[in-house]
Amino acid sequence: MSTYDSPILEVFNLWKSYNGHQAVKGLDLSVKKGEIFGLLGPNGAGKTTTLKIIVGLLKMDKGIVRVNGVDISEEQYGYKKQIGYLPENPTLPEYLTAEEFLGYVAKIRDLPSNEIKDRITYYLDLFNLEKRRKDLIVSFSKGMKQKLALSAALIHEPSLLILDEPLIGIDPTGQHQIKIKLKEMVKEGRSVLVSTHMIDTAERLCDRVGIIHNGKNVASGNLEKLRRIAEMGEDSTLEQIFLKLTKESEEFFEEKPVRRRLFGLFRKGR
Amino acid sequence: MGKIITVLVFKIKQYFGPLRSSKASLLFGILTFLGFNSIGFFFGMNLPDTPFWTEPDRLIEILSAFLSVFLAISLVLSLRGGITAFQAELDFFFTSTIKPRQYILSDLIFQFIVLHLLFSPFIPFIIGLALRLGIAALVVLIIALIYEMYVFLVLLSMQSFGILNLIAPNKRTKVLSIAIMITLLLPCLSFIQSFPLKYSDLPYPSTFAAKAIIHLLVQGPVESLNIYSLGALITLTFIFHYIVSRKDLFYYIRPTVMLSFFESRPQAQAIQQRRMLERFGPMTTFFTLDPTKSSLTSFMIKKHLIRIIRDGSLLPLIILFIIYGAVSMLSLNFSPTSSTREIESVLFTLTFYSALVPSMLAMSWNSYERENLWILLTSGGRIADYFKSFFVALLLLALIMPWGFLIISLPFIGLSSLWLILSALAIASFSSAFAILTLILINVPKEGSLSVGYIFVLIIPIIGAYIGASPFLAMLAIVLEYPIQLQLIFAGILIGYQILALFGLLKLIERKAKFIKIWCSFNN
Repeated sequence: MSTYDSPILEVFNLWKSYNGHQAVKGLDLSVKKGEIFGLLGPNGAGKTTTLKIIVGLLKMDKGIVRVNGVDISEEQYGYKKQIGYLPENPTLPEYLTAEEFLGYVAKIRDLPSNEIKDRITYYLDLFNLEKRRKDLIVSFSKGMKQKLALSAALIHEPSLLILDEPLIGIDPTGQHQIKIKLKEMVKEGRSVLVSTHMIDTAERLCDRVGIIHNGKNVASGNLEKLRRIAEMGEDSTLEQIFLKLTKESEEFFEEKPVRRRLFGLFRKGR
Repeated sequence: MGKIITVLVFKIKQYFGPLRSSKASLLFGILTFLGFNSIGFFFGMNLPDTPFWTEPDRLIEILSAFLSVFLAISLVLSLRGGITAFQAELDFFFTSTIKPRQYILSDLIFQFIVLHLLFSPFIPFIIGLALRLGIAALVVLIIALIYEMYVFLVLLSMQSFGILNLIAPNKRTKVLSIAIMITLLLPCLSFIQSFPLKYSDLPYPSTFAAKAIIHLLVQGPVESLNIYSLGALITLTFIFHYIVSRKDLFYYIRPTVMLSFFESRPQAQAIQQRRMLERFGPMTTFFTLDPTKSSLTSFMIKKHLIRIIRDGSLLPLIILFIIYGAVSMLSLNFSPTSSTREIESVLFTLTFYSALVPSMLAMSWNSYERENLWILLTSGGRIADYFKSFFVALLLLALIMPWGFLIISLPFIGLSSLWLILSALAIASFSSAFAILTLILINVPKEGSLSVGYIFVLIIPIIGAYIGASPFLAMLAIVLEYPIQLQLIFAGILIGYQILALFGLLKLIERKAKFIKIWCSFNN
């Protein structure tokens, strides 16, 4: 196995419930070094919950999460130096300017002082925010905020970038810039875990995809492997595979009415 | 008429909605209402015992000043719109067949109701006074009528200037409103210095109302001229209102941000802070954060201070500062022969400012900053540094004003000032530590209305401050009777106690901060 094949992230038998609802039910996944892994699933499948557990915003009920071999239950803070995170709807300190915000993130990420200004300029340039560097974030559009939040997730050059619906609200040029940046990262041997419910994003961006449904990883792999799992032909699209696998999963998990009928029989006295 | 009532009922339900949404908010509302009214009643009962009662001219001056401040505040509100229009009204009423004048009338009635609730203690005050003095019911009724006339004038002025600001939002209108405000407040200077302009000499509506009310209260003759003059001013304001409200206002009215009665949702506060940031934030970018020039702690302290300045959290502190400063100055000026002990008592009230500031800033942090904690929580163990620097920022802001006053008073009251400085430090530091601990332990949700958690965030820092600083306060009462050497020993012991207690509290903050809840769709 090459270095690139070794996993940067491993998740085993992950469980999480909140407010009486079981959001994640024994989920397994693995992200290799130097790949973009997509978590694809419908709304409420458990994607965001899984990501929040990995980045330390939620506590898991049961399971093991390892980032670069480090069990996050044992080393709760140190591993975060290796990750960058972009939430679905990032709230930013709008009272700071773009430059101040990235400086703040760089400072708490312990970046050396002599590198901070160069990195800020690089990312503001990359996402066409350079002209607005001295403007307060409160004056930014949603797309600009998303790009700024992504810059903050990237500024310390993490080994694993975790993105929750990163392309929503971003214009096509911005989307293109993000995709190029992610591909560059992967070439450098870093990894990206991206959660999305947009199938075309997953299809075009990701090396491998995990289909999440009802809190479980129904299937994962590249398109070829997913076709085999779904027993579909070579011309089948990810959308068709996704629909088939999630439907099968739904049927599999559907509650069987046998017991109720059995009790019904007793009640009727037959 | 039906449409006017429909709008009025909607406004009332919208405005008082937060009161109905939870038992805690209803209880809080009732207690506040009863509390203020009781104060009004007892103040009325006891007013004849105060030295002012023997000086009717002084009473006219004070009441006129109070009524003028009331009118000036309403003009400040008029600069922000003057009409309470909720977003839903813009969406549904403005697109219906209701006419602008009908809408304005319902708003006027609505504001009349709200104002009576906010200034409800005036009526119990008059009742208390009448009971004490044995004034006839008819006289009380006439006093109430004069008061209502004045309130009507205030509301008409507020709405007229509000409309003028909407239809002609230019500098001239603003300058006119501000000039009137300054004219109304200028004679207040006569309370502090020998200022030539006094309310009783000026033809202000407040003077006419105050003279008529005080003459009736001290059982003098009814001065019809004052009542007629007040009536004439109301007529003039009404004509002004009629002229400015001829335009189709629906094109100009903007939704009111919040300000419903007991509006206390963190979300509403966050909206308010965001608007402040949009409006005033760009003017404050000359304070900048440079990550390359300072240590992490001083960088974070500066960041906290920058937020407090830019999002408008500082504004209520400045208002409180002015009120406290003015009250302290006035209290000392009213009694030129004040003894050292009396000066100490006045200065002691300043320590309440130190207790209150962290509690107020904790609320604004909860509304606008808690949700940004994800950045820290996903980046590694810096959360403890964040809260320690927040503690220092709160402490600085809580102490700046009381210490300023106490240092000035040092040459006049000597050692007591030093003990007050120590007490203020103890109160401010305990209040700041408890404010942060409460924020960490209690998550006040962004959605929803006034909750018990919200009340805790407000009250616990104040209670914690006084409990924590109680050894200082106890010592303050007796220490001056001891020789200086003993006082120094006591001070050393108390400082030691404070360092230990704060060390413990900060350690607790550090331990609990890792588990703080932030607003996301669900939490751990």
